[in-house]
Formats: sequence, C-alpha cells, structure tokens
Amino acid sequence: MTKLIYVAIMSAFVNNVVLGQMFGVNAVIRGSEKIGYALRLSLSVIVVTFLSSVVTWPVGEFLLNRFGLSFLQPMVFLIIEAVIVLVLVKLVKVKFPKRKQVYSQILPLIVINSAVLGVILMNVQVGYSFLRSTVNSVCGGLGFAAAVIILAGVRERIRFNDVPKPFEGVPILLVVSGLMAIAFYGFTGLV
Amino acid sequence: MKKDTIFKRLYHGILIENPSVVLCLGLCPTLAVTTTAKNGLAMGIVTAAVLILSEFVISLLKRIIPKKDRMIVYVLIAACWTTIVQLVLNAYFPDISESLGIFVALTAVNGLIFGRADGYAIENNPFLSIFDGIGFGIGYTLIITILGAIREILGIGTIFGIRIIPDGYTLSIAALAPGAFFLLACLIAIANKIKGGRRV
Repeated sequence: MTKLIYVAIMSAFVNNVVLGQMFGVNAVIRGSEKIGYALRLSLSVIVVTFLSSVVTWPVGEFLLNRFGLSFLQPMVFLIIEAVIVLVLVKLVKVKFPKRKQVYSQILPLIVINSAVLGVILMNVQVGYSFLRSTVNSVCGGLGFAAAVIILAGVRERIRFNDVPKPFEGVPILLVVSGLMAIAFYGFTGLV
Repeated sequence: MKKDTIFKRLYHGILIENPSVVLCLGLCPTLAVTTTAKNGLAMGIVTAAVLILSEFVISLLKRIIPKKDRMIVYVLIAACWTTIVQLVLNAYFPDISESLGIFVALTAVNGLIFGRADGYAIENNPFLSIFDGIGFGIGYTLIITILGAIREILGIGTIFGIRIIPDGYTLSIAALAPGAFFLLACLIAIANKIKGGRRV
C-alpha cells in the first residue's frame, strides 16, 4: 500500500508528466488558454489515460511481450487509444447531448497527446505490475491536470502584464513552465 | 499566387516557418532529449525521417483519406514509419536508441507531423511534399541541435563530447528540465525579435 502511495506521489508531483518528463508540452500550452477548457481537457486526459492503461497493460504484457512483438507497442497502443476515444465520443453524444460540442472537439486531440501515449508506454516498458501501472496512469493524468490548470491560472494573471515584446505568446508560457518545474523540484524530498 | 517550388519549400521550412521557433510544433522531444548536442541531432534526424516518409505517403493517399477521420489515418501512417525507424535505429545505432529511450516511439504523436500533413501534404503532390518534409525536417533538426549544444555547453561543459568548460564551472540547471524551458523560450524570443524586424 505504501508503495502505491509512493508511486502516486512520484508520478503526480516529483516526476510530473509535463514538467519533469516533458510529455505533452504542446497540449498544455494550447489547452491553458481558458480555465474551463483546461479543466475539461484534464478530465478527458485522466479518463483516457486510465481506460487505455487498463486495456493496454494486459495486451502489452500477455500478447506483445510474450510473442516477442514489443516493437509494435506504439502502433497497437495508438490503435487502442483511438478506439477508446471514439467510444467515449459516442458515449458523450448519447449521455450528455449538451456537452457534445465541447468534448467532440477535445477528445480527438487526445489521441495525439504525447502525455497519454508516454505514460502508457512507460508502464509497460518499465515493467510495472497491473495495479501499479493503473495508479501510475491515474496520477500521471492528475499531474498533467495540475500542470495545465496552474498554467491556465497563471495565464489569467499575466494577461494584462507588460511582457517584453519578443517574449509574448509561447516564450513567456515556457518561462512560466520552467519556474513551475523548479517549484515542482521542491517535492523531490517527499519520496 | 506565386508558384510553389522546391526552393520555396526548403526556404519556408528552414527559415520563414521554422517548426520549432516560429510555429512551435513538437516541443515535447525538443525539450526532453536535448541534454546533449548528439542526442538533439539524432532526435532531429529521426523526426525528419518520419516526417518526410509520412508526408510522402499521406500525399499519395490524399484522394482516399476520408476528411472526417483524417487524424486517425495520419496517426497510423506516422506510427508505421516510427516503428520502422525505431527498428533501424535498434539494429544499427543501439547506443543512440538507448539514450533517446521512449521519445523515439513518441515521434508517432509529434505535432510537427500532423501540422505538416494537414497543412501541406493533404493538398499537394507527393514530389513537393517530400521537399516540404526535407525543409521542415532540416529546420527542426537545426533548432533541436542548437538547443542541445547550448544545454550541453552550459550544463555539462562539453560539446559533442569535447570538453571546453572545465569541470566545476558549469551551470547544472541547464541540464535539468527548467533549463530546457528557459533556453527554448530564449530561442523563440530571439526568433520573434528577428521576425519582428523584418515583417514577414
């Protein structure tokens, strides 16, 4: 149990998916424009990462690794991820017709989000157990959520600040992310 | 409209629309693997190879790719080429494949490939698409290698393995994640400054 908590803290804070391992930096920068969008994006990332890791771990371990096909991992995992996303889009259409518009825009972009693929590939390549990889995925998703929501908040605050002209746009967001990464180094002593 | 030529494709890819510092595509490997110049160069070449091959195939198939589900098709084509490139890398350059790690596999979801596939290859002929891929591939490789070189000089004190700053005088933050963010921000700001002066 304590080991699982360690894994959770490790993947959500100490080795944050975005700020430590730098998966999905583009998604964070694009997604942090508005806080509402950031919240929806993080919810979708957490759900998709969780579902794909539940499916991809058995497939990776029992099919691909056993038959020596581990080089097919990216391909097979991407197909699984795409199928999960398509199912989720259909599900949202049926269950929450009001939210259809927003989520049918966000969800397809998650397939090419390197945070999701990075986390589920890592689970299989590092050789985590099923439980551990599930916890790792959910907390990886939470780490992504933390990064994108904090960045969206900072972006609201610096909207009217006087940023030097060449640094407007993406550069200042990268500087903010760098400062956040330094702040997240503070969690290193936890585990 | 001016005619599209090979030269124009290369010029746009390397300078005017440089994928890393002007369009800001595919930042994830740019930030992550640039701890040394050699890694940056290797990652740039891997990305360029996947980009050229994917753009070629996508522009060959442009009539039969359904408009609505084109993202999935791009993902699968890019994943195919990534798998092939990874196998080649494993066979001939195992040490590079080791040091790039998971990021070779993540080339399949690099934003650069989707940006160029959607922005160019889907509407143009295969021959020009190859040169578009070469131009943008060179542009990407250039920036990722420069960033790798800066981080290696500041963080480790060497360049391509040759020591130029004595041990103990290095700036260790440049080799860590925050340094990557700061230095890439500076590169993009320099590009913005140059672009602002010339009014593209």
